[in-house]
Amino acid sequence: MASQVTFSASAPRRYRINLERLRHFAPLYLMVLPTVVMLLIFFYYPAINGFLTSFHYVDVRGWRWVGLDNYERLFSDARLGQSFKNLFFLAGFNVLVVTTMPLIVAALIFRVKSTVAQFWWRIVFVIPIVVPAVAIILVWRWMYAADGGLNILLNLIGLGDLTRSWLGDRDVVMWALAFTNFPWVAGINFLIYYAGLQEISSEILDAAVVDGATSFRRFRSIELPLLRPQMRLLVLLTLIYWMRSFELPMIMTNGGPGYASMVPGLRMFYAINRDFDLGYGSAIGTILFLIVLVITLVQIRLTRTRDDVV
Amino acid sequence: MSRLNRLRREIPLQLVLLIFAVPTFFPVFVMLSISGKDFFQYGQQPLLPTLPFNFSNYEVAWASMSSTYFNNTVIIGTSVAVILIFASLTSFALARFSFPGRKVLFYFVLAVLAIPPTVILVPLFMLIVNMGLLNTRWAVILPYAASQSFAILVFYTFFSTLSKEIFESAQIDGAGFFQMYIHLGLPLARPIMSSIGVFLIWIQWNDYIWPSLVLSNPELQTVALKLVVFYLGRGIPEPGQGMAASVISSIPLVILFLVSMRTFIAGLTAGAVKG
Repeated sequence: MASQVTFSASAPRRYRINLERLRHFAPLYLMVLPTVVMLLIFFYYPAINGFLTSFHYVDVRGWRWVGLDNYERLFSDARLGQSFKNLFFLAGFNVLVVTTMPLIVAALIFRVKSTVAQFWWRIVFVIPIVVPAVAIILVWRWMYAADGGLNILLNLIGLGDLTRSWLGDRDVVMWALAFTNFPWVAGINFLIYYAGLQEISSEILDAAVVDGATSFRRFRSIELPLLRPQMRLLVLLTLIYWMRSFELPMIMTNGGPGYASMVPGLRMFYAINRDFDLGYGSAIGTILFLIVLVITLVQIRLTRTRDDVV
Repeated sequence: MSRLNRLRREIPLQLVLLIFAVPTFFPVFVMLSISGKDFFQYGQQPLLPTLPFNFSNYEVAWASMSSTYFNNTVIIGTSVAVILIFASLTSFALARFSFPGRKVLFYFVLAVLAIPPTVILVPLFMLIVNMGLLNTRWAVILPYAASQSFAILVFYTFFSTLSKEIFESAQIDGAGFFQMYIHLGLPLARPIMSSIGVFLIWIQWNDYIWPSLVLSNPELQTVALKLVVFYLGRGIPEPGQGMAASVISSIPLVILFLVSMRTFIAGLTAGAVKG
């Protein structure tokens, strides 16, 4: 190192200073290095590789360049079209859910006077998340089974005519999937709304009470507008969640009956695991990635404009 | 007196909350209830709890699930430790000091948040195969350990809020960057570290898709994966046994929740807001 510095003695002064600066900051680069290497190997490299793979046909003999073939197949595949429809249905439905149910419960808990009671209500709606998501899905699978919980309940209240195999009927299977986790409160979503409510200054709320605002008016005119950032965040998280997750249809129905509840992610999974069609799977992954990217960019855009206005 | 009145006025409110709470807990209730039924009890009364509570379901389920506790401990323990160490180092460097390339590195790290792991499922799978790691614990540990962006974001926000003075006086005392991390950053970050840690444990405990792709060896399977394999597997278990396995899959998280209730909630909230 020292010899290098003497060697560059004739070089411009700034260059020498930069070298010294870099050496001074070396520990900082070392601190960042492991993370950067891990991200390169397990995120950046696969992301780029996936994009490239989507233009190839891959099998045991190797890779063959096929241009846009995978994408052409993808867009002309009626079943895949159906699976994108299913995906947008689930995502859209859950956006509706996430902007209402957990918000209502959070606002209700916020209205309980005693802070101790508030704490315990919060615990009540958080506790179910200690059950792993797949276990909850399996319970709901039982609920929808022909001899399962939902039909038992329907028989019990005299609506036996409505009983059916909820997951075996292509007309209702998507609604069954959407209604999993009813009433959609348990978990993080309502905690986020609740945290947002706690940030609202008590002066504003007190002033509203003094002015004689009803509880509902207080919700509509104060809390709802101030919770818009939380709402926007949850919509984003929900959309991205459904673009990337498919364990619900995977465990409930395997995409069936037929392709009635198939989603693109599950097709991608089967491309690896059943069809050995890695190029096609990569093409689906690339499309999902683009959708996530667009959603994220729209979100950033919306957040910006809001900041400009306020 | 007025307190009593106030309580009375809140009864409708509490009732509405109860109406939400009952269906929220219904799946948990069903799980516990059925997990105690033998075949005949289930046949007669599939929903409501029956006596005697049949613990042999748990014995059968545990025979399948027992190895998964160890697997999850190794996998999650390793990857969470790696994340906490390297994410905190990275965020400490990025948040506290300005050095050439800092901004580029920051965006390089955070851009990963826009790459959900499942959209790179195929190439990540090919990578694991090419590294010869298929059906080893590393196949799960390494991608988990690399998923640091969320932890970095939370650590970064935390380190940025610390006051400048302590670091300046440390610098005057001649402390190097690593020493400042060990003696200042790390102790101060301990509470947020446990929040992040608990959140990561929860996330990884719940993950199903990735392990199901790379861990076909039954001895290496994780809790969530083994639960589904057992529940839907070839020797379809009795309903009670399947539900008992579900309960077994939750117990460690229940304990984690009980010993760290506040940290757990703080971690979830931070995780969701930042991630």
